[in-house]
Amino acid sequence: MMGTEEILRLTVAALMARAGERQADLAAGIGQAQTQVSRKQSGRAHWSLEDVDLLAAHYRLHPLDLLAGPTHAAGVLHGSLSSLQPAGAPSLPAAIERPAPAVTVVLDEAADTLATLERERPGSAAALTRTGREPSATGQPARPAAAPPAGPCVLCGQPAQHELDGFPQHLTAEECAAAVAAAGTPQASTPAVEEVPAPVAPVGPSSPVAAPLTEPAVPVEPTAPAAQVVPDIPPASADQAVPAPAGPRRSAPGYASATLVDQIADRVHDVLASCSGDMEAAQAELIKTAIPDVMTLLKASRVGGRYEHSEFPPTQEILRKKSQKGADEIWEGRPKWRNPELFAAAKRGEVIEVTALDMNAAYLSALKCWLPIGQLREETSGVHDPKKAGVHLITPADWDHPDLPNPLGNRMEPGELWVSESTLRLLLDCARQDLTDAPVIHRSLVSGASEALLEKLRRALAESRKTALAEGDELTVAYVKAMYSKFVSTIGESSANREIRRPDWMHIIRAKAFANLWMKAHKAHKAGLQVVEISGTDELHVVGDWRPVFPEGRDLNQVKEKTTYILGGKR
Amino acid sequence: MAGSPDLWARWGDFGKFNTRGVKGGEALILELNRIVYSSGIASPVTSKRGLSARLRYLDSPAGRAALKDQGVTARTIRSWMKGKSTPTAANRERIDSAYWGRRRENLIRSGWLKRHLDNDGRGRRMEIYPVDQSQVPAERSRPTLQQRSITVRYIWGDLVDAWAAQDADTVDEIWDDVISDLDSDYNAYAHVSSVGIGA
Repeated sequence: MMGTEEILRLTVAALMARAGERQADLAAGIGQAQTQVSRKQSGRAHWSLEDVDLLAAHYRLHPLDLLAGPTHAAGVLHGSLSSLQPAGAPSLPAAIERPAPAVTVVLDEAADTLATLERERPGSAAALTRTGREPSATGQPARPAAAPPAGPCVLCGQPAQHELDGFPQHLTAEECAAAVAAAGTPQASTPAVEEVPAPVAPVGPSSPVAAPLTEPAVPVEPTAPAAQVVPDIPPASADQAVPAPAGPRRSAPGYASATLVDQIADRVHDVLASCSGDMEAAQAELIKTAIPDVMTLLKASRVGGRYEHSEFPPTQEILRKKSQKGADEIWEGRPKWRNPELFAAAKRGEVIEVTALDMNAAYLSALKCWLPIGQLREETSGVHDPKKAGVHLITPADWDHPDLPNPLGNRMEPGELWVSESTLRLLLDCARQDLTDAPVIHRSLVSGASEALLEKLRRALAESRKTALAEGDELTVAYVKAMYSKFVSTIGESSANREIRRPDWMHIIRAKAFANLWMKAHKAHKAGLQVVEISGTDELHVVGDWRPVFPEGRDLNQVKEKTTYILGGKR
Repeated sequence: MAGSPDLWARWGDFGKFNTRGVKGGEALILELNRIVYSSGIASPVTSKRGLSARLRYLDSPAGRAALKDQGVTARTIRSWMKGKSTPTAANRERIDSAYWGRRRENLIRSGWLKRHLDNDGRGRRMEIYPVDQSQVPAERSRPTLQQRSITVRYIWGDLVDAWAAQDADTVDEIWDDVISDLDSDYNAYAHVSSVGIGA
């Protein structure tokens, strides 16, 4: 069920819509900034109890009416419903009973709105059916069974028989009032009930009791399924129905672009439909199209972006692969390190129990990194400009921490080397924390940079992944994984991806993944754990209780335990 | 030099102050080469997979003729095809150049390259990187030269024809057409450092 605050958001959205207000108008009315209203309505901030009072004063409602759901609040605002204001003793129990039916109305209304949307925009039906199908499939036939309403009235939200310009609505204010009054008071057996299939029937065990309350002419069925459907409707579908800028799913709205998330979901849905539900075939098909799909997503995510990045800048000599299997001259700093002391101790016979931790979706997190926007140009000032990114020829300082891996990976050769932006920033960070001296920068090939170039894409992928994991949807998880990993591996000089050629990005993103792993190792070390091994992009082996240090799970900020083993023993 | 009569002269004496760049037409030719030679068989000819894929591709009268042009006798080809012997390093080079020669011809002949670039009339995005002025004294450099990005349509058929015929003059004229979309400062892009075609 929805929380009180969710209901309040719906109510505020409904009241704003009825009053024809925009967020700025409401904000002026309650003496706050529009941004505050936006944050509170989208769930990034909370409506406080003081806010409720302000809102109530603004709409000239009693706070209790405001909290009783959009239908009730709108009804009171409209004058068709009596206020919950505790004038006398008998009205108080009603006030306590009211919230449950009100929620029923909200969700039912949401399902209706979805159904209406589907009817009105058949082309976009696919986008809504994912969340909206179940409620509408059961809710829709229930309605016409009573009387064929055109849909919920746009003025009062109650079912109406007439349509004007494609909008179902009551033709007069009296009809609205009658419908709302009929819906709001289940006890009243007015003739108006005939055109209202009583969506406010009490939920659950009391629903058989509801039958005698309705007119005998009205079939009983409409109420019962509607009441049963309610718990099945995810709160998300109610979110979609209101004009509030909330995302389609439960997590922080506004975090990821709903358009992109829907695009991913639709793609999975379409492919699954075309494979007639065969998961394996669908997965193969999705992975096959992952590269063009992620490039389409990237393009869509850059619409409205501030910077226009270059896709085919001239490739610098050092970024050119020497042969098909060969590498170019950039050192990415791939970690491959074992703690020599601990291994020696294990050899002496000490029993050391090690936990192997696994970082989740390392390359997906690494999409947030400083990427050069345009063509790389040479700079020889020897100073690192934080507003620029690229590749750098450096001489790193010595690393003398035997119990911590070198941020440069397992490089043995002394002297200068080309590193990418992520590695250089990590080295500079280390220097700032007095772990080592700053590297000497000899040459830089850089361009103006932004950390947000891939952020919208990354958020959409992360959001899809999170939702899919929560729902146990392994198909989407595999699809998202194919998209981000293939994106990283083909944006360089790959013939598999002909839409972009940024070997510098590829190096920077990979090096960022390695840097992130190094930072986790450093964090573990600072927290008193012993780091045994770090390798690849996502493996960190530690000794000690790691759970206070890292949250456990499959989210991007969490780690998961792979195995525990005895160092030097059998794995 | 082709192109509009004074296109090349309008910059002035190109390279006088150490501006570095090539004529736009040359950059276009390089980019077309990149597109053609980054398609095709990815495995190198030194690998078994890459070698057999190339030999299979060349197993046609035209392919055998191309190998023959490279100086490989029919008998040697038969022996490779039957698997009796494997090519020497020198012959692998010949096979590779015969393969790329045939593939280039076929991409032109079949019209794939034109269709690929024309993209059903939608054309392709072209990124134009201006000349490199990093060595030019500050008072002599043109600070307003920026990277430009335009969608190019309608020229691709002519461009591929000219590129196939190795007709650099026509490519120069086509380049003139391309940059005339860049409004007033188009002649600053007569020379460029490189061109990127999103294809």
